[in-house]
Amino acid sequence: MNLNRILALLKRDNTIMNRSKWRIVEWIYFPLSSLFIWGFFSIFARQYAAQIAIMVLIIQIYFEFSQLAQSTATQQMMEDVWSGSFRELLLTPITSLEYVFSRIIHSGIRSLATLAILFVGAFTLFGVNLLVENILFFLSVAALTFLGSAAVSVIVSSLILTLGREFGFLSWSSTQLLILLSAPFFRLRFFPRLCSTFRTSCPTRGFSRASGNSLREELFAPHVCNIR
Amino acid sequence: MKQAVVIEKISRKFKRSKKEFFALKDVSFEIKEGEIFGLLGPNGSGKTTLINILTMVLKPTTGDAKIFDHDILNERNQIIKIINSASGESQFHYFLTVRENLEFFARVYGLNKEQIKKKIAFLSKKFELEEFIDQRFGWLSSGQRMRSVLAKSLINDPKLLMLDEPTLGLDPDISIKVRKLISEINKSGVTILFTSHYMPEVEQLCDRIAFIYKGKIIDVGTIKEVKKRVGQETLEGYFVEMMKNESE
Repeated sequence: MNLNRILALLKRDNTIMNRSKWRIVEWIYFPLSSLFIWGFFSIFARQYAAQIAIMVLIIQIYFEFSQLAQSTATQQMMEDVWSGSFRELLLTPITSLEYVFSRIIHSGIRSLATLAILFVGAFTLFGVNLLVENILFFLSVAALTFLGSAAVSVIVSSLILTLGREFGFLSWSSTQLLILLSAPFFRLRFFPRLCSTFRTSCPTRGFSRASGNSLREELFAPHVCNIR
Repeated sequence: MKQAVVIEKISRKFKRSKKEFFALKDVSFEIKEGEIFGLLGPNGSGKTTLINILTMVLKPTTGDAKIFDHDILNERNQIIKIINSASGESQFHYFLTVRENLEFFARVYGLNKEQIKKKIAFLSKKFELEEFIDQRFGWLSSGQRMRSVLAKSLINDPKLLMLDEPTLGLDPDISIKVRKLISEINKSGVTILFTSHYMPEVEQLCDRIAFIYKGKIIDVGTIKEVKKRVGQETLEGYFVEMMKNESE
């Protein structure tokens, strides 16, 4: 072990990190947005204490699904860019539509398989039979979530291609931001005006509002929440 | 002789740190069918930008080019099937084996299972890939990678092949092998656009050359003609002389 070499490596890593200011996303953005999402959720959930466990689990399952559906497609493209093979693909007869579509199908298959495992796990390990009893509803929600996530992945992929590879962080941070700004469990006025304006037009807002309502009003009524 | 490539007043502008600059300015020349055409110039002179435009990865800011009478701006589908390219910096996905990569590209070009099998067997023999064809691309040496990339560049039987510094960073013995392969490819009827910083290689392989400097074509002709114009006996001497003239 040579201290000088270790220090040289530390300096190098630090320089590389500082060269991309977007690395701040990893340090600040993820912890803070998680704090907001789950903090607001905890305020919301206090009103429905009996159903908290089931709600947290189902919300988390859909969050994971949405994140996976979006980021798998985008990160596959990023991997092509990072491996240096993206240019080779551009030189073939593959069209941009084929490229995007194949990635969406792939991410769909993978994320749906994960969703199925999560559903089975929630049912068998945690006794959430709500998922099985309302399977059609939850599958419809999954289909809508997937469509939204696929749309986000297309937008994010285009942004990364246009802005450059240092914007790769968008591939794993966009869903988090959209969910935060869709604000299913807190009021519009919390954020500054600019964020509120974005939120009202946010594509996931209507969907998150509907999920919030269904949680508040029907699906999570005590007689439905039959935890085994 | 028919023209394989006709380049007409191509310019390409880039913007870096709010400053605009021309990587190519009014570039015009022709490449005849069946020849190996060398594009020479110092680093940053615009060679790769021009290849990126001809392979339709980049669009020119102004100007146009025709490849076997097809327009690069409007006939991508027709052109992409008859061209291919390889560069010293070309990469396949590192997790896939050479065979998997070749199979992928063959499939993309519309070959069926039987054709893919035959094609890969042929290319594998020609480029001596047998030893490492089932190894991951990421594990290969630069010489093995270059041979794999060259094999890929023939997967669609192209009429025009663009080779951007294909011997970059290779050992002399591998470079000799690659040059032999390039010569063989050309003899099979493929027109080649070739760039290199190694002048003896250009002298050995190319029929005609163009000298590009700061995005402009300064000179075009056969190797004999261009050397004679500046009174030099070697292409290396020609290159140095051209650089001296231009910087003055």
